[in-house]
Amino acid sequence: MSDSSRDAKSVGVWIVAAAAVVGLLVLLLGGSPAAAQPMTPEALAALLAERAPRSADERVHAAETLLYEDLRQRSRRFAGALLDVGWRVSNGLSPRRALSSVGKLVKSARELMDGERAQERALLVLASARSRGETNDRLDLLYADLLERERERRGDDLLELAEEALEDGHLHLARARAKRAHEIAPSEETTALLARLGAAADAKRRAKAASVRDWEVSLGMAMLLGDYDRALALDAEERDGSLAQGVARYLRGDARAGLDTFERLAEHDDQVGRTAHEWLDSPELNDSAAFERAERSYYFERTLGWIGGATLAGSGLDLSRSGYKAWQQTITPTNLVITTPLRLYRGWAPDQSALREAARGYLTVEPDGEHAEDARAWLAQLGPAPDVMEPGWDDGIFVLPRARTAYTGLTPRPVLVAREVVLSDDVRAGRAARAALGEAPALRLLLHRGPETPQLLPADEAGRLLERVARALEQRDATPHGHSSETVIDEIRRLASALDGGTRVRAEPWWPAGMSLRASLASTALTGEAADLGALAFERGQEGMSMHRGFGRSAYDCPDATVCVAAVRLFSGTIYGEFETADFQIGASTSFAGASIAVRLGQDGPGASLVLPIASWLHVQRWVPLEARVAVSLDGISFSPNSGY
Amino acid sequence: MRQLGPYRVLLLAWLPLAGCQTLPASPPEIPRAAVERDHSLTLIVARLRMHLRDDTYRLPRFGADQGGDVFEASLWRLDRLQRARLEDGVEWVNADVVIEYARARAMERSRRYAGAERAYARVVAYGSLLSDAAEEAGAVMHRFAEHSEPPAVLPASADAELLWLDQRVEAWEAMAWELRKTSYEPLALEESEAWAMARVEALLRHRGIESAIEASRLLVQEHRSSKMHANHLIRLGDFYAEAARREYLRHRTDRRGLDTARYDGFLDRAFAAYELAGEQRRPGLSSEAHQKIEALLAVHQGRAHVR
Repeated sequence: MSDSSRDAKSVGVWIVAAAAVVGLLVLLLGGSPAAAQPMTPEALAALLAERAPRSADERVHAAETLLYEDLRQRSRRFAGALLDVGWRVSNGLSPRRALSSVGKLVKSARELMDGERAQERALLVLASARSRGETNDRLDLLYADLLERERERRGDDLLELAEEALEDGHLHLARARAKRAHEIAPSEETTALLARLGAAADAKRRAKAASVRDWEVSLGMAMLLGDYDRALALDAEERDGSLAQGVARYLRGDARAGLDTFERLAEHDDQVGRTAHEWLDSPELNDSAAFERAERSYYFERTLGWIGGATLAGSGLDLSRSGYKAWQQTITPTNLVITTPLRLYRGWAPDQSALREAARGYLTVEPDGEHAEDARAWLAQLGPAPDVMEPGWDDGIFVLPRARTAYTGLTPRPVLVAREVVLSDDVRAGRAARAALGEAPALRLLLHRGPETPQLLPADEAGRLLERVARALEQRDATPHGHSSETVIDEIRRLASALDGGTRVRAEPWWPAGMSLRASLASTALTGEAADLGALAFERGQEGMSMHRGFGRSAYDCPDATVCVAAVRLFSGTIYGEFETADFQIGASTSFAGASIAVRLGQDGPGASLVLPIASWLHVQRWVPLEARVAVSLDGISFSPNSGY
Repeated sequence: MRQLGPYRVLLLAWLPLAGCQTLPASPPEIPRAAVERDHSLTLIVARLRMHLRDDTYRLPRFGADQGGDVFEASLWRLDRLQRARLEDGVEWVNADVVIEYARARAMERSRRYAGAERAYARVVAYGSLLSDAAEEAGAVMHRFAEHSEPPAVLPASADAELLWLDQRVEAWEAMAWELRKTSYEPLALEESEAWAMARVEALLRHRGIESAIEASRLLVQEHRSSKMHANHLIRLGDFYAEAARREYLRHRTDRRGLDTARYDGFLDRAFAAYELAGEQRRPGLSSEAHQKIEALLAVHQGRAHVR
């Protein structure tokens, strides 16, 4: 056995011996053995059933028994813990278990000294007798002793809590506890604590008074009264004082000086610096910053606009779906090759009102400022604001303009019928319709609500006209223009339904509006909108542009929000050209009596196709829409029937 | 390890039995002066003073774009400063007068007129360089507070309610005219606008959609310069959209022909109102207007299919 283990063993033996001595002492000094004897069930029952109040001596006995039992149990726990420690040390068990045992020993040692609960219970037992006046000397002595101990303990607890509250800075709470501790158990400690609390309260009061510095009062009054000269004359210390004086300079009319103060203060990252920064960034407060921002924004929008038009200028910098879509539409060959150069050539520019306003605002405040020259140059370049009436306002009266959102209303659209159709044998328009048509190339039929006008068609004549136009479309004696046959027939049906419902139909002569070829081509190239110029149509897609020139067709384009009916030409055709980045082709097509023939020439060589409307020739197209197609190209000849769908 | 004597063992065993006396705590440090330079009285007053001249009728309150309000924030800081100074029952000194006056100005701009009036009265009662200005401002706040009070007797009928609202709007318009070109004009205009908005909603409840539309159109017309102009346009668009919906519903329930011209007219004006709102340079409202256009288009297309 090594020396160290021998030593440990001997320590363990001594600890066990000490525990045994303690246990023996407890037994020897313990109270009546009878108190330790367990009660029989009968005795317990008798005790429970007992109704007579206990005498003073009985209560004293009960209280003493409570105290003894409690002490005994605490001592047992301590002795047991001590034995456990000794055993573990002497047997050399694991340090962790030894440590755990020591922890239990310490806990039981603390409990050994703490008889509070038992004393409280004993006090209750005695107090009930005293309240009835059933007392004797023994009871009074024991009661006084227990009460004194209780007071001391409560006083000590309150004192401890008061000290904790004082350390945490809760002066009110600390004072309340200290006062209560002094009332319960006055002592030198409670008196000293109360004195310290008084001193701490005075110090805090002085500190709070110092939370507003002397010079702040004068400065605050001057600022709130708007007496900026006085505010600037004061000797304001520290950064917040400088900020306030910067505000005074600004509000007094010397905006530049005020902003200079803010710029100097904004260099530090504290609340003063952040406040100064906020003001420097505010366009309402800082005209210089507003002008710089408007200028920067204009440059960005103009550059983006050159590349991708108004859409990219508006959304190009957004990290959003609309921004992504704008770039997606921009990065296309057509846009980059055709449209961007066109925009550059035409000098596309974004909305200039914000920059104009910012430049004017800047020159108003700082006519000789750092950016004055730039501002004047912009104003000269942008020119005066265009004299455009703000939509919705007519001399101070608010009237909503027409909406620009494209939607199809529930009201039937007007039907535009070509002159040839109106006067044809198939339609045979009535006198009123012919009178309304006059020399115009087309007649416009629409619903009328309102007072009577000479243009109103008699109901029966209007009904017949609509019916015949619809039948002509169905039998292909007339052709739709701008929409499908079904769409046009549906609109005619809705007009007829409204007519049946009592609404009148108005007939108006219609003349096409003029549009220049150049403007139409430019509009298509720049905006991508398809443009119809009578027989000439332009269309721009993602990859290319196309141009179609029809002949033998209507000489006008179908207006917006209108459906059109045109005459069928015996002979009509189209010459077209399509340009795409990867391909081009030119061609021509023509039709006669429903049959059509087309020829084309593209990168893949020449080709031709022939379409024969078999069903139409057999007059069975209403039941079997059948066509025969023949296609010829360098790849060969192909034949196919086409159901027309 | 050398052998421990028996006395030392006993000492070891009895040490835990020694009572744990509470050792007297060392005297605490005097609480440090909580002088927060980050929110000093000077800084609060400087921020407040900078924005007291803002036209809150035409422009949003400073800080609104970040969800804040410079006046509410200043008032909160002043309240905290005042509470910290007064919790020990310290009597008022000049610094407290400055704080109270600043509170009054902040409450005034936050449209808490009764509170501002009381604060001004306290400043007057104390007597200082600020007393005259406080008395003058207090008189204005007294009138503002009067015009903001709820009715002594709740209106018993729709007519009574509408009459009371009309009178309220007129009173504020008269106040705004009287206080024109003063720092109180924007506040009076804001109040007149707010009561006009309440009147529009009351007309909707009591007189129907068409009365509300007309009142809303007038609101747009009369408050053209207001920062809430786009909001009014959107509300007008909402009314027109609702009118179109009711027209459609009437058709569905009455089983009669839909007055398509009337329906299309309401729809068109709804779109127009939303478009005008979307053109104004207010990012959040512009987005709302565009979304309303999309939503109305979708609803209209659904109706067109269901017909």
